[in-house]
Amino acid sequence: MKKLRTIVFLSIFFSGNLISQNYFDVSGGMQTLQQTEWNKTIQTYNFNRIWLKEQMPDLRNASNVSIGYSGVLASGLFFSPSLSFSSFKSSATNGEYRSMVRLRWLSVPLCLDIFPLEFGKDSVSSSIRPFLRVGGGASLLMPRVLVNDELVTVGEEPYQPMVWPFFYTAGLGIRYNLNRSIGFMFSAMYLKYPNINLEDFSYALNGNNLVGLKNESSAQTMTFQLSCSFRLNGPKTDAEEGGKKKVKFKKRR
Amino acid sequence: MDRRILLRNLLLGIPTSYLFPSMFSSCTKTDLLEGSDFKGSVIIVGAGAAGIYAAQLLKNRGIDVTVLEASTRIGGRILADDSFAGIPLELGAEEIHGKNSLFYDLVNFCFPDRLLPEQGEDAYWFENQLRSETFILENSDLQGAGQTLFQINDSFGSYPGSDMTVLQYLTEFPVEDRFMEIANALIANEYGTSLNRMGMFALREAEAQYSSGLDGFFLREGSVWDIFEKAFPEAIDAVLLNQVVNKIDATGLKVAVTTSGNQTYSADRVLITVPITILQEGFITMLPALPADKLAAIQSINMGNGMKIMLRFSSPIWTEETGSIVGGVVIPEYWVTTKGKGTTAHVLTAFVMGEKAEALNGLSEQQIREAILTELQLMHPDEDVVGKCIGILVKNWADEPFIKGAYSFPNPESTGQREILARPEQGKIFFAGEATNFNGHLATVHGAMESGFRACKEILES
Repeated sequence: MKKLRTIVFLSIFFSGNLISQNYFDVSGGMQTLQQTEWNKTIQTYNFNRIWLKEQMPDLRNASNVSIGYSGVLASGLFFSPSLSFSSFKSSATNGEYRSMVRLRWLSVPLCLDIFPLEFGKDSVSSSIRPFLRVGGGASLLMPRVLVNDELVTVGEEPYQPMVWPFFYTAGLGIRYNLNRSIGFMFSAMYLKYPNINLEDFSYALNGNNLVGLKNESSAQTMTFQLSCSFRLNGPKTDAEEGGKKKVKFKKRR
Repeated sequence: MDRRILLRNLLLGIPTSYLFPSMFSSCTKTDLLEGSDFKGSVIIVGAGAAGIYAAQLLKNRGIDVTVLEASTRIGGRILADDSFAGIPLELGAEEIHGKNSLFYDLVNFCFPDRLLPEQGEDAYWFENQLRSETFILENSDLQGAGQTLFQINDSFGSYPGSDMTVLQYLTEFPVEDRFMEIANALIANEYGTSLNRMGMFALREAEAQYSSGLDGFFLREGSVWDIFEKAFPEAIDAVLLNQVVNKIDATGLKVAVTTSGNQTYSADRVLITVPITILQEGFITMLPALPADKLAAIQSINMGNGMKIMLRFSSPIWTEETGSIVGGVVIPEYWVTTKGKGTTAHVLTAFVMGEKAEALNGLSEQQIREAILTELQLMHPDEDVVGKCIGILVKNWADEPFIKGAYSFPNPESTGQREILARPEQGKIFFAGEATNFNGHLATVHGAMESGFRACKEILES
């Protein structure tokens, strides 16, 4: 709860300070996942269901889409909230028998973009602008296990949990301004989830937890995105004004 | 970009790569059997559900497996009769418990059309009349006692009290005496015993972990054994029949397994899947002797007597809606085996376990028939029950020399003991079978299969 309050506070604080050298980003890319316990659960399923010729692969990669906003806080420093969505799938089709794990992954990262070449300066030196992104946020994870497109049950209830783990993130990106309105951005982000409490996943998939898989475990993902950036209306940068701003000295008279 | 900027970008990039090393390691495959490199040979003692399934799992990994079966057939407590009514009738394991299990998945894959949900409605033998579930639940004279009875089963997994027998608990709990035969049928008979032989802690241990679901299924056609035969042909090929194992010597580099015919087999690992009764009676001499806590665990888990008696009728004595009759004094549970199976035969299965099975144990087939038909006549006074009964088939599992009972149940002394029973010894001797299932699925086919998987994993990691 404390983390959540901090994030909400930061959002409110920054939203009041946003000035309008801003971008709206529409992104697509891929997200890779490393989560040992969930993959062991899938491997247990494969190990036991020897009658299935096609086995379920590990949860590894998913395509990812996101929308984001970048608002300048100070020269070379932006606040970048976004909303991203991935859907990981592991499925196997054996004749008319289809088994699938589907993991929908909705994330809300709140990040700071630091442009080191511009940080503390009043000018933008290049149209290619590398940046470092750090932040954190929360994700909504919705794992489902389906057999022949039917949700499996644990006990008597369909297995459809929703969990909200927190994460922190760091990464690198580069912005390229094609013109005054449109640009591109590439980013590679690392997200670390210290603790995801996903109960009964092994029971849902395997009907048991003989392997002793843990409900609580960490996860890490890497997101690679290519974005189309739309510059929102606002004051022009110095570069766009056609040159560096003249430095004014206090005259000693 | 000039050289200075490029240099600065590179300097930023290098520390960043140090931030992400664990991410890049995700390219390496996580493995369920991390570090396992076992490539030796395995002897499995017992060709029941656990033994056959474990054999197939090991064969799939390229392990050399031999299965030694004491009797003249494969399957253990899976056994069907084809001759009595013209369709396979399960004399042993029959119901598929829940949809969330290995066995359900297997059937759903092999023969999805054969899954037959429990048919008909339950009729309860209550105060000398057959009553519907609605009557028990809603009759105002019962003042909610029927609801208490049906709900109590859900509470065992979170039982907060002290240990006592289930009968003692039900007596203390507001379950009236007039419901006790029904409670015995629903709780104890299903677990293969009687209320006074079950312990609350052991029952809680099982119920808290049971996760397969409450839906019940039968097979519309074919038998349980058909499923195993189709799914595990290599394991079945590895079975040697009539091999009564009486000594397992693990003192050497390899484990030597000797049979009553003085045949000796050796392997790197041995998996014992025989019923708990066979371990209890010391049929197999173990060298070195098993540790004291293992021996105590073996003695602490009980397996009761159990019978399935098939009664064939020329025409139904039951109503069209009837699926089961629950709460009999002689037989706690009857069900219409042929319902929904597309046959013209009319067969009622009488399912009796624990003390009530022991009461029938010494009787002849004729005496058993008379006892059951007398009870059924009471239940169906308007029918000529005796006249319509055209055949009886009795299967007494206590008479099976290499099984000696039905299945293990949660007796008071068994609390916490199944995990000890399942524990490998000396890194060479492994244990499987329904009685070793410590995750709530004891006494089921899928529980036996799960124990086979657990033991297989232990062997591969040994």
